[in-house]
Amino acid sequence: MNRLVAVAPLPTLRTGRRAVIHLLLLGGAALMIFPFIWMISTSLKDIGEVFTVAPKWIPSVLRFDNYAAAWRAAPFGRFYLNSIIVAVAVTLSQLTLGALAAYAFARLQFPGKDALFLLFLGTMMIPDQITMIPAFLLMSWLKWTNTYYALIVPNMVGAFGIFLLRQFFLTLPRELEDAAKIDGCSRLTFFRLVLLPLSKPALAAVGIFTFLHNWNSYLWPLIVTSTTSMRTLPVGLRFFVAQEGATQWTLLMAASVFVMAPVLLVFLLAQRYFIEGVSITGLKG
Amino acid sequence: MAVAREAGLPSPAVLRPWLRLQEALAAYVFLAPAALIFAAFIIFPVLFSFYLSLTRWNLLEPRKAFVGLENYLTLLRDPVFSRALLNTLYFAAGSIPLSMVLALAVALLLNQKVRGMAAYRVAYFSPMVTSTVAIAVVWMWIFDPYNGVANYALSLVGVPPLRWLFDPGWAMPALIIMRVWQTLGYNVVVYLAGLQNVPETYYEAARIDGASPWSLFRSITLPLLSPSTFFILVMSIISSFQVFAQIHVMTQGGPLQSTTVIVYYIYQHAFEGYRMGYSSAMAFVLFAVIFSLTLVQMKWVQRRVHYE
Amino acid sequence: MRAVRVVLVLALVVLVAGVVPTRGQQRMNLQFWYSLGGLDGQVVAEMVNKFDAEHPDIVVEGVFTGSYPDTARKVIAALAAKTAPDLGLIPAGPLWASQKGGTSILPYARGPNGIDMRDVFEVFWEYNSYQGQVYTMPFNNSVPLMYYNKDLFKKAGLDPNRPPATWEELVRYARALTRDVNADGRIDQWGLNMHGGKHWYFEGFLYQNGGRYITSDTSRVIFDSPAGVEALQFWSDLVRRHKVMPPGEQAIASRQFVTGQLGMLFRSSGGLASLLREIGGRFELGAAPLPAGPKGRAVTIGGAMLVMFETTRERQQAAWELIKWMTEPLNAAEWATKTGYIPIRRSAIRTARYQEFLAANPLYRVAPEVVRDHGYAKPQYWEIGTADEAVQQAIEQVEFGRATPEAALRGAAAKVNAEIKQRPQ
Repeated sequence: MNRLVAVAPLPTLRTGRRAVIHLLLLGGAALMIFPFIWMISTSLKDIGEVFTVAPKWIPSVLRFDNYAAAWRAAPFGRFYLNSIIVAVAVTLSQLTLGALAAYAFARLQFPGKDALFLLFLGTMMIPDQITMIPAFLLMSWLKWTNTYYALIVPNMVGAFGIFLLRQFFLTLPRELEDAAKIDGCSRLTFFRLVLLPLSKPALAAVGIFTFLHNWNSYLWPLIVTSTTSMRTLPVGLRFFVAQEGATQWTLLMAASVFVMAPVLLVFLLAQRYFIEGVSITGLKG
Repeated sequence: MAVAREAGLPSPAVLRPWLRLQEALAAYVFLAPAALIFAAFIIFPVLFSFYLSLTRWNLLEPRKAFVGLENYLTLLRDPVFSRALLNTLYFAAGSIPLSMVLALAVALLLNQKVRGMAAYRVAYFSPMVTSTVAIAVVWMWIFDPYNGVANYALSLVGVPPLRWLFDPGWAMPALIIMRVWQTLGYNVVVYLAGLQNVPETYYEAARIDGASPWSLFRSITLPLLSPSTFFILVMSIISSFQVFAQIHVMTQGGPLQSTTVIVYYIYQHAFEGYRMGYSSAMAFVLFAVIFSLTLVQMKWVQRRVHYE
Repeated sequence: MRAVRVVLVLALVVLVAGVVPTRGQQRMNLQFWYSLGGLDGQVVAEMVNKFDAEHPDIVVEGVFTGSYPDTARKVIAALAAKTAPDLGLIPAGPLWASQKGGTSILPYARGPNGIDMRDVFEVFWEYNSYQGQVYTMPFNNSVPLMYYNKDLFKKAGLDPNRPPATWEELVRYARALTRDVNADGRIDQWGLNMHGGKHWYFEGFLYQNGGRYITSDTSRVIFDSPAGVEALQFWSDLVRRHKVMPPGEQAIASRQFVTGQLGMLFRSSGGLASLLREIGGRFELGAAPLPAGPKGRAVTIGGAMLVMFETTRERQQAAWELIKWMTEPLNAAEWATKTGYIPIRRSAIRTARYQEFLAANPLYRVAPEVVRDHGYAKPQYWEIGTADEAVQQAIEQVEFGRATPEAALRGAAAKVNAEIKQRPQ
């Protein structure tokens, strides 16, 4: 599976051709990352320099204190803690519960299997807006508002994860299970000791997606939390957008940078797993 | 089965249904935690929402007035709803093919055994990890009619500046451009993986027969990429029909409702007008549309996608 | 083993997190939601801290609940779920306070621990009423002002100390200020633009032309009256006939202004402090009331209010303590100097602190004078959101030439009146 075979329907590369390819890719890559450059550039500017007639890429004075000011403007330390706790809990949970369910769909036979799978899949197509208000009412009846329960429990399972993991499990050879059965291994043991370790790329992929999605989630945390101490990072970004006064652009950009940084870091570190996982699951459709 | 008889177990005829039951029970146990959460936090809200769609309620009145199918009938006659549907289709039709074609191009380039592929991958993928709310502000600046980079770029090729997000005709194209930027990386990765799984032998054989690069692409690469294409298509349609954050931050559905997509219209009714019943009805219609589109694609797949 | 361990850790995390202890159980802990972000929000937070320091038996937890719409949404959900806070600084306050779960401040204001209600400007009490009854306490009110760039005035040969006083002068000045500075065929300096919610400025034009938005019993909107149509026609002329205002660019109006590309900006008086900061001394700023229309000067006031929710008698009294403290003359003056909102009481204006502030910052004089002389309060009613949205759409259509003012306003009024008819009685 790890053969990186060059499969291009083009003749062997000559230097000129290689240069062209690099040029094109470089150009595209530049287009991809220049918004980030602008974000960082603005985060280091003085407020007076944000809206100049000609766009200024390099600030005349580097206001690193914007980051300190942004951090102080709201309890971002607490927001970070909350975001981390919630995102990690949700990710671990989705991986565990999702893998269990995916295994059932991939390898076990039971009545209602297809219908159930379709049902799970169908939930992916439900827009958040439908479930938000009733879910919120449920939270208040359970007295879970403004607690970690409300932020974590409703998100403990994800249809997308189940779908991807099932696709992945389907690609694993059946012989593994038959061998395990002959050895007298229970299904759960097989699941834990054989299946999961083999599924690292797929788990990494689902894990990162889930982490990402939850880290950036804004509307739900806004609705279910009402005290500052329970807020998450994206909600914290709102502190810089004022109603009748002015949005503090430089602080907003600085805060956005430190909201995005951890995710970017996670992605950089786990990048290989992630891309491998995505590519494998994307193959079988 | 010989193994079973030797081990002194009952005959297969008796064993099989018991094994099947055991298997089904195991399956249910594996599914139980996930199913429970789903039932409580997704199925229940959906059902409740459906019930709401048959009422008129503004969240504060203690009683919900039952109005039957009235909301759905009103929907049929709502010109803004049809507009929103069209806008959503425009958004999807504008961004998906473009993103896929560009992604394929980039994937083909990246597949050329160039150095620094990992770095390129990170660069192309980075838009996917950003929070839409944070990056939307940057894009608003990019499309600024007076000082934005987009118009600056246009001026380099002699095109007069556009008002982009402030022009009813150009707001949606601007959002489409941003969407392509956001989704390109993911599609590139999927296509890259797909490309790397096309066996070299096919190409060799065809080249021996004297096939041109273009026909190699058309008759080998494209068909063998169809699973990836299909996957991207299904995922893209589902997600593009649910796009919301960009619109909320950048255009608020305007100008002149040119960027009001269905989810945004639902949001306006539910969270700004507090018309719970009407917005629930709309949400269900949206769900039905997405569901049918997906079903259609699945059926279409049976005939068109080539699996190995 | 690993999977089970993971699940156990997970369960542990969730359980532990769920038992996060609540703080401050000895003193009265009030929950205070406020919908102001940015610098204004920080001032609110500071005030809350100061109140806590001065009142050892009460602890106020101030929570920023997002923008006005975000906050409104939270309040509705909270009232429905019976999890409303003790009090809040919330827009459309009287609507919430008059519902089940809300309560009026009137008995407290009139009671033994009350205040001199005549000290507060009458128009603010009107603004804080629902169906003729006062429910909430004024706090951060503002009016639309006309800000202008004195340097650009001079460059265009206009007197920087004599801003336009009538509709005709507005047009004349705007024309002089609209130019193609770099001669590239596009207008890059505009004469006039408006920041944010269009309907607020339309209300200004409407009232200046003698019209009204809604009947006083809020049974029918009447902004499509001939006065309203004329007001919208004036707006349309600014964009399409005189071409002094770019259509649909209200979102970037402030930016155009602070970068010196806009001659005159309509914006809330609450934005004065921020504007000064963003202009950063690049040019001299002027502020004036909106020009007079055929029936004189008029604007409608905006802003949020302090809303009390229904809890226990004890808590409500504590909440009233906070409300009373925040609006005491000295504190109200302090609030006004730090943010640019209008002091709600006459005695606040008379304090030495505020008078000194005015002497040093004459621009802040304009808003209180506007309120005193020609500020109006629009009635509060449930369909305000729909009405304002409908009017915004109508204005947009007219700006882009897709409808005549009359047709646009008729359509908007029909929509709103249809919704009003469905009001549960």
